Amino acid sequence: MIKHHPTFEMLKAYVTGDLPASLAAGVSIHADKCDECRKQIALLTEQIAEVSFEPEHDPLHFGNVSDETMSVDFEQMLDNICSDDSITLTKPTEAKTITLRDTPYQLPRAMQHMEISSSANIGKLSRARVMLDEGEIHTSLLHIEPGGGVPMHTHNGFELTVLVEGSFTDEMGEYFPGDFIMLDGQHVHHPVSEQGCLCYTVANAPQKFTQGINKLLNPIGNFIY
Amino acid sequence: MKLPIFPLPVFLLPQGITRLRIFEQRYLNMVKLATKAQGFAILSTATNAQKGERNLASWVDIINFDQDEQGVLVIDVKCKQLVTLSELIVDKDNLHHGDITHVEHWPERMHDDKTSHLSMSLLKVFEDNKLLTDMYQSGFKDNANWVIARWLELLPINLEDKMMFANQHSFKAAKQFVQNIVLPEK
Amino acid sequence: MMAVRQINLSVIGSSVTPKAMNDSAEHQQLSQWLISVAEQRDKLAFSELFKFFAPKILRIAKTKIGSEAQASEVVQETMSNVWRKAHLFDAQKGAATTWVYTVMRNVTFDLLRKVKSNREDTLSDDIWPIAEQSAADDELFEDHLASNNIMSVIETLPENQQQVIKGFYFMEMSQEQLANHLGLPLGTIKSRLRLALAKLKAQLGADHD
Repeated sequence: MIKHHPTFEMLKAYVTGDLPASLAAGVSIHADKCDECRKQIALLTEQIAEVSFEPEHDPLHFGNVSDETMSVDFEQMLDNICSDDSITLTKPTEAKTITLRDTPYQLPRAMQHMEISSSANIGKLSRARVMLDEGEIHTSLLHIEPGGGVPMHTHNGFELTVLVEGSFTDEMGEYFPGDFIMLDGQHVHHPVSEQGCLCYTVANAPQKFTQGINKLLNPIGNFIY
Repeated sequence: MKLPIFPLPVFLLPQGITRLRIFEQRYLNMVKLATKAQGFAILSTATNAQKGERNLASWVDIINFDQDEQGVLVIDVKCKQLVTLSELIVDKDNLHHGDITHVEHWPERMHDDKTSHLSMSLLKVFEDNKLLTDMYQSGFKDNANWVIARWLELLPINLEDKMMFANQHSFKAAKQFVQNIVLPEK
Repeated sequence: MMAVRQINLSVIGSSVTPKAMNDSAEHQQLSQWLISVAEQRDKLAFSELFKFFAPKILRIAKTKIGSEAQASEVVQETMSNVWRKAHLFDAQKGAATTWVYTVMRNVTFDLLRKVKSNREDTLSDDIWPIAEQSAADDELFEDHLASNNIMSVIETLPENQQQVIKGFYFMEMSQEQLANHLGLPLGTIKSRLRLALAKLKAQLGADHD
C-alpha cells in the first residue's frame, strides 16, 4: 500500500504546470497508482481553473480598446483557427518497454515520449538516463537487481524516488509501487531491494556517501545522480 | 443570536470534529470574522431538503489551529450542537448570518453488544489514523451515541443519505446501518 | 524542506466533486458551446468561447511567460486545440473551465520547455493526459454524485461564499480505506454500502406509512 505522497504544495505546482518535467512526471507516475492523490488533483484542477477564469480577475474585456490587448489581433486569430476544419484524433499508443539487465519493464505513461539513453551498470545497479535537459536536475531510471542496494548515503540537494515496480526497504521502512519519496540532506539512508525493483529518480546534486569505506564509493554518487 | 454561516458539504454531528484547510489568502479574513465570537454555523444541507431538516447546521467552535509546513492555515472545529437557521441577513462582505434554534439530537443510550463491537472497531480506525488521533485530543469516548455518530461521519456514503441521521429519532436506524456495513451477520 | 515530513493526503478526502459548479448558468453555457463545437463544428459557439477565454488566457500567459509574443502563441495554440479537440470534452466529467484550463496548462508547459530546455518534445499530454483524464475516475466519483444536490443550492449563495467551500477540505474514509481497514475486497464494501442504504430506505419508507 502506498504510504508516501507528494506534499499539498507539490500537487498544486503540478496542477498549475509549475514543476519541471522531471518532477511533474514523478507526480504523474505516483498519481497513476494513488486514488487519493488523483482525486485531490482533480479537485485542485477544478478549483484553480475556476479561480483563473473568474471574471473579476479579468479587467480586459474582449473588444475593449485597451493598450494591452491592442497588440494581439484576436479577430485574425479566431479566423485562422476556424479556417481549419480538421479535428485531432488521439489514438491509443502501445506502451513502450525498457529492458534493464534482462528485466523488461513497461514504461509509465508519463515517460512515453521521453528520450532514454542506453543503460550503464555498476554491481547490481543499472541506470538509464532520461534525457530531459533540465540543467543540474538529472532524471534516471534505476534498476536494482534482487539482493542489491545503494550504500549508505545522504543528499547534497534533493532526491526524489518514485518506485515504479518491485519494492525496497531502508531505515524508514518498506516501499511499494507508487510510493513518492522525497529526501534531502537531512536524510541518510541505505536502500536495499530483496526482490529487485525499478525506480524513477530525480536529483539535483550527486549523492554523498557517508560511511567508512563507502566514502571511497563517492564516484557511485555521480553514477546515480 | 446571529452566527456567521459557512455552507460546507460536510456531515458533522454533536461532538464531531473535522479539520479544515484554508489555502487561499482571501478567505482567511472571512474565517477570522466568522470565528471571533461564538464560533460559526456550518450549513450542511439544502434549504429545500426533506421535512424536519430545513436549514439544519452544525454549530461549531474552533478548538485548534495551526499552519502546515506550506503555511496553509489549518483549523479543527468541533460541533457543539445541531441548530436550524432562520432570519438570514447578508453583510457587506456578502457573508450570511442567521438566527439559530437548538435542535435535539439522539438521547443518551447505553452500550449493548453491537455498539461495544462497533466501539472496538472504531478505536482501531482511530489508532491506525494519526490525523484522527490528532484531532480528537480530548480522546475517544466509549459511549454508544458517540461511537455511532463518528462511524457515520467517517463512512463513505453521500451527504444526502447521511443527513437522515440528523433526525432526533434516527438512532436505531443509524445503529442498524453502521452495523450492516461494519459487522454484517454471518 | 519540501519533504521533511510529508502530509498524508490520503486521509484528507473530500466529497466536493469537480462537477460542483456545473449547475451554474455560466458553466452550462460554456459547456453547451463546447458541445456545439464538438458536434456541429459550430463557429458561432466557438467565437463565444473565444471571447470568453482568449483575453483571460492572454493575461495568464503574460504573467507566466513575460513575453507578449509567446503569450499570444499560447492563446493561439490553446484555442486552436479547443477547436480541434472539443470532441474530447465530456460535460459529465467536469466543467468547461477545467477542461480549457488543462489544455492551456499543457500548451504553456510545452512552450516553456521549448524555451528553457530547448527541447521540442511534447510531454504534457503524457504527464497530464487530457483525453482519458477522468475516465479512470468514474468509479471514484460515482458514489459522491448525490452530494451535487446540495451543491445546487449552494450555487445560489454569493460567489465568495462558494469559494470558501472550495477552499475547505474535510475527512471521510474512502471506500478503499474502509475496505483496507476491514480487510475486505473493495467490491464487498461497495455492495455492503449499497445494501445497507437500500435497507435503510426501505425501513424509513415503512416508518412513514
